[in-house]
Amino acid sequence: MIKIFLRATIVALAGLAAACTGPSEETSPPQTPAAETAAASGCAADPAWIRSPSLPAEVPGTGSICNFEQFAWQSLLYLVQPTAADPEILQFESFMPNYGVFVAAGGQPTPYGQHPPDPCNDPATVAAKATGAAPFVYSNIVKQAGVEQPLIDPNGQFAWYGLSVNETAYDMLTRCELYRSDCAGPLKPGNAGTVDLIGAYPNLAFPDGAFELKTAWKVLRPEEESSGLFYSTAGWIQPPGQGGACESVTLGLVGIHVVGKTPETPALVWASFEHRNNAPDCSDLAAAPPLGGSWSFFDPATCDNCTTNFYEPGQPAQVCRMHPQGDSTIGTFPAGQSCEEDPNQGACQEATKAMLAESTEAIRELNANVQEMIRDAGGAIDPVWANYELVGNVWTRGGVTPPQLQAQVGSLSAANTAMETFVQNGPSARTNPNNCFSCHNQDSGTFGRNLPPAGLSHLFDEVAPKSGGCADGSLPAACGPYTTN
Amino acid sequence: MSYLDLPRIHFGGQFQASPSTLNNTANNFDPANWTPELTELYWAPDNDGIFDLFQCKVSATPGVAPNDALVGQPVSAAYANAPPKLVDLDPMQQNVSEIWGLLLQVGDAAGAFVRGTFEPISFNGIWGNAQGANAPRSSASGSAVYQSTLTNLAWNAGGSAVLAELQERSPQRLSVRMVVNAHNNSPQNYLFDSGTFQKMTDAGVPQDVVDKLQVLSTYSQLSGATAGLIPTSSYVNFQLNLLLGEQVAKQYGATILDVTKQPYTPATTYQFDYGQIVGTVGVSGDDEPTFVVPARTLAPPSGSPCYFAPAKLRSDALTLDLANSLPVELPGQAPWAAKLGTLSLAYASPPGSTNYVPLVDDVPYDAAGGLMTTRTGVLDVALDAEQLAAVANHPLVLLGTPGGQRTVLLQENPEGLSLRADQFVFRLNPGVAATPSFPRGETATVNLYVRKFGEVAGTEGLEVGLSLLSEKEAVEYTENTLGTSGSAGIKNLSIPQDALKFDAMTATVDADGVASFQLTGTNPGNPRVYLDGNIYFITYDFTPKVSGYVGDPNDVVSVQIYEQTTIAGEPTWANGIGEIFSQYGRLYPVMAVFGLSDHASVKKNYEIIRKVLALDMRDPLHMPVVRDLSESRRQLIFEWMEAGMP
Repeated sequence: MIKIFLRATIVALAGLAAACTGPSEETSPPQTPAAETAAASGCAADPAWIRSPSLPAEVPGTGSICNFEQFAWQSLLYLVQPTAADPEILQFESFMPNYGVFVAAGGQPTPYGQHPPDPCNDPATVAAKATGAAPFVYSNIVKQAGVEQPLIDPNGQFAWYGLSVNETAYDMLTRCELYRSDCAGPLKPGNAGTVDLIGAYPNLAFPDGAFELKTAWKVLRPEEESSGLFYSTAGWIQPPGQGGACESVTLGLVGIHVVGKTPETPALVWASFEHRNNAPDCSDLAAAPPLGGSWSFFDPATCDNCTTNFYEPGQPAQVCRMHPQGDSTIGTFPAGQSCEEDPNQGACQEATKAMLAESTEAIRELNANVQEMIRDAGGAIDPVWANYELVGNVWTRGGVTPPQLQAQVGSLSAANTAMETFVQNGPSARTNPNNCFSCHNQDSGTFGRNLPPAGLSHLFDEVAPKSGGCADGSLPAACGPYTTN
Repeated sequence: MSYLDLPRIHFGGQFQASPSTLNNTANNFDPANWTPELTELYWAPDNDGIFDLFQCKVSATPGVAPNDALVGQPVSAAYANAPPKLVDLDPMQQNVSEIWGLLLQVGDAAGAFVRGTFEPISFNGIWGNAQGANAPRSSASGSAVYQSTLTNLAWNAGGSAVLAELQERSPQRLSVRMVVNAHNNSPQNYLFDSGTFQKMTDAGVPQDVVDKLQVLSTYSQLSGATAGLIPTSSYVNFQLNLLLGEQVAKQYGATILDVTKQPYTPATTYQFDYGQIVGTVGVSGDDEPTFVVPARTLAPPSGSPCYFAPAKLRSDALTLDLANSLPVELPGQAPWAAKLGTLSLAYASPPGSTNYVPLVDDVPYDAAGGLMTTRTGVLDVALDAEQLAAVANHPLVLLGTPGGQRTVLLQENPEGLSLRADQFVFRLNPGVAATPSFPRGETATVNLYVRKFGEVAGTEGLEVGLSLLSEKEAVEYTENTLGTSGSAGIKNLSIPQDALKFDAMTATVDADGVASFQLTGTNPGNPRVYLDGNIYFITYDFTPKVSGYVGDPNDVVSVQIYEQTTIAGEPTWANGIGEIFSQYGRLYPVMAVFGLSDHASVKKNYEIIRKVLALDMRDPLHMPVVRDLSESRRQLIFEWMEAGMP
């Protein structure tokens, strides 16, 4: 396949680059500021993100809005580079998937670095996984967060989702045994557990350097696969409600959330990337896909006075982007209430508007600069990554937790059209701004009592019911370092 | 201890109150009225029920050194997504709008702050403070009080002396009082009639599109009001989407709004849905009641333009809260000097006489004085030992000189007695036990706090009596409140009378100055047919009556008793469940995306519907937003969902 050939070439080049610059560490020290840039203007991209990729350990520079967007892109450009151990596997594919951590009662998490077993026990694939000969994705997740409804593309296929964590996060989850229901307690909604996490461990948090990913994939048709527009990989999908039968498909990456923690960002940095052909802006449904071809989740031919971003069982959704760059002040507003119509909205206050404008400009500039940098990289990185863009990024001022609206910074209406399709303006379609923090906010289900910061993550939804642990009512001693942040 | 003590934090700014109004009239609950011609839209049919603070800042911190670091810092509702909600008890009792889901934060979360749960409470002390001839004839001219307690406190005193001292003295709870008024409930209107339809055509809107909008000319905001006058662009957009579809509505919406837009006259100087708020936060003892500050109370004599004011004699000073007590000419303005003249504070000696011994000759209530702004109406008067001794057992009197005549505006009764319920709103679910985690069971306790010159001493043994309003009295009461007046379809209230049972109709004040009554709600059936259960109103007074004692007319306890709903046979959409959902679907346009009137839509959205129905009532995301779904109906819905939603 052409795709594979390209990747192999890139792997070789990247390996050469790595050899010139020394081994790539998973994290790098803060870069203050980026010394070398490939920027044409504005928020600059750093060629070092490709030449010597690393997961940033801290937001670079002065912590400006641009710096946070740089943190996001630097992170992604590391994640899409081949691993040293297996050039066929990209860094993000080496993260431990949710089903390798959150095991059923009596099970043990798969050691980090190994492929966990998945329910699709096809011998050929198992062998391929064992040898690392083929990248793979397994997913049985089709329901989107927030509304628990699936996204169906114009081909009638579900969008598929994956969750994974890096080793730093994995270590915390396993040492604290938070994959067990009695340890996780209220981190898993509706679960009691034996540990008083809120009272006894109010500071339980992911460590600095922890990263969590959520990926979104579409099933590629042959012509889409051969188009070269998508990062693609072999995948197993296990459709819900069909007796657990697995299907071997080629999956194209359409979205990825990159969520990372640094010493200065206890509420985490929540960045989201999308394939540029996902969906048009709602304000311009007639727009052509920027990469040519067709939109992945919008079909103008069948949109005759259609309702957008609306779930109808069994039917493709007509998807569009309500707030480009996650800017709450532009795009499509709930009930038409723009800043002109309702100037008292939080996002319409002068300081917030200015912040949003800066965020939007930084995202636009950095996307353009990174895409140019990738195209000009001379094969040091798969050019397919120029087909992706940062669509939103949020964090809190001063690292405030819980992440109350007043402290939120960045794209306050950040939403990924492939992952938060139906909740871009909240579940009722009436909330603006609505972003990652709208759900990831340490709510415990008991008003006024917040979960510890670990509760910002919803990984714990994956905890198997009645999987025990923490019989003495406390977290394991090995969890100590994670409870004193 | 309370917000009347020192130190305290004063703040002010604006509030947002955005109740949905389609459910604000009993008329609209009656299926017989489910036609455009008979539906009453009121002023914001698709509002979202939000209560929020806007541009509020700390204005003063008396009791600590001036220029505390907290002054100028924000005061806000802290939330990541779901703002607090404003909740009416029932369309037939809208005079007790409650705030639910408010996490009040004083200060900046990235710096010095205190944050706590505002215990849900209804407003009280509502009165028409805007009394000028041109003041709106609506609740926009009203003012009211939210008195509550902040709990579950999170502190970072940082460099703020007032926070440090409050944390030292009151680490677990804080007393909070907020006064709201000048709410602009006048919407931007859009007229759909033959004239504007022609304008649409002239502007290029296709005739088939215009034809689909004809139905809008039949709606009105109130029965008998101008037909075709649709409030708010939001609701017009809602209707356009409904009638035209999303893309066509988007294509012609701006033109339609432009040609139908009417001249706008705001009810107050604030943006639509916003008003003025001032607040005070102070210490609270762990054993203090949650919602009442047992204080001295100055009451208005007949004809006074003023309203009840709480006061406290401290060890070296007197504190009088006038934030909700002085009239203004137009909403949001400074106190109306023509109605007040020179304000002075005195005490009557001997009690009951008109011999007034002055304490303050000229209370600086004008805008320049800062009393009503920076100090949010709370007056602190330093007293010498002789004055302290005298004020301890003599009635306070606030005097004015309207028209040059010295006039009593507010006064304590000669006995110095005050009487107030801790809680004015109760929801009872017959057949369900009341527990600390579920206080809305079939029983409840009404605690009435009695004080004599602000002290417990001298109150033990006094008798307090309750009175349950009859059906006629209940209708008269609610139809004459600022919150409910004007609503159509109010009837059959407070029946059957014996559905609300009391352990006694009189009670003796105990050694702590409290008289308590036990309420038990039994199944009232369905006397209002299309509204669940019924509402009962209880008044209280000293028995025998105390000469000179004037109770606040707002001090009415409202009790909602839900019907013990059962469904004969298997609950299905066609058999009972659809009826429950459909009413919400019709009366809450803001929830349109969930299609609550449609079986398939509810099935499609059941996971998120179930999630919000299951949330604790204190959670701002709890649904229904008006918190009027009885426990029996809620359980029926859950059982139906478990059964696969047939």
